[in-house]
Amino acid sequence: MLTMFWILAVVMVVSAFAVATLPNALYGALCLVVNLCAVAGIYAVLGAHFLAAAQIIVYAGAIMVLIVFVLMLLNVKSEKQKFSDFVLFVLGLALVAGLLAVILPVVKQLPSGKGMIGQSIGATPLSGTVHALGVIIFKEHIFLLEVIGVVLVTAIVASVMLANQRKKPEGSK
Amino acid sequence: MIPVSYLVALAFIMFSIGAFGVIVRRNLIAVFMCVELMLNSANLIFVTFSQVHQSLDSQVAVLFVMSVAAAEAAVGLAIVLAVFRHRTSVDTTEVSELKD
Repeated sequence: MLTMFWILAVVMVVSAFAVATLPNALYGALCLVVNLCAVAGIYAVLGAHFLAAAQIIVYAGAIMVLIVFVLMLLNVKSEKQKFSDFVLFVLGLALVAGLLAVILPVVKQLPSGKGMIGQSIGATPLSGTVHALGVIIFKEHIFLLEVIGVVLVTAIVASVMLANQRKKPEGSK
Repeated sequence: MIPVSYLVALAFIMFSIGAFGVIVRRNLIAVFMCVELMLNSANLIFVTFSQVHQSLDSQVAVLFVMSVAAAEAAVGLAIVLAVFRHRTSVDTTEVSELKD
């Protein structure tokens, strides 16, 4: 279980780094697919089986198809100047350093640590099957489910409105 | 047996890589993909603590985050298309009307 975790973690970090730095956005998108599949693998290791399947179908399937489709449609060349200006680059590095400074105390209290963060997830984790999740969604969170339906319909209508504008004669150069 | 701290650290690292990409990248679609990375690291934390608390409620939250991410992808990519239609580029530095 731990071996599996380490393999997936290395794949995740390397592919996430590739997404953030590769100049060609299409290669970045392919690395994001690898990353999302690795996250799905971690979900499966943690016992969230339905979420692992949903992650692959919704994220690595639907959303990534949308992104790759838009990339293909726009035919964007790789960036010549990959990063914005130097100030922003330094700002980004400072942000990462700050976040890592937050992580370090967490990682220091390794398995033997106190409290919630020091625990380990056992060999037989709570199983997130379709049945278990379905019962909870339709019994306790039915209102949220309806709200999500409204959100999705609104998003689709909005995106059709946005993407369907007629070309203005002088607006485009 | 996976220590919870490893999972939290992994999610933090992925989140900071995503935040770095959002700040530093110039391609709108690349920025968008980095936002997806950050959403995924939050989801990973949700699943981790669903095991810690032995409760499936946070896995339901992950499902809802996924559907919101799908809605966000639809709207975000439509906005990218609209920006491209106006300027024939998806460079973030060119979209700066509100700046001055």
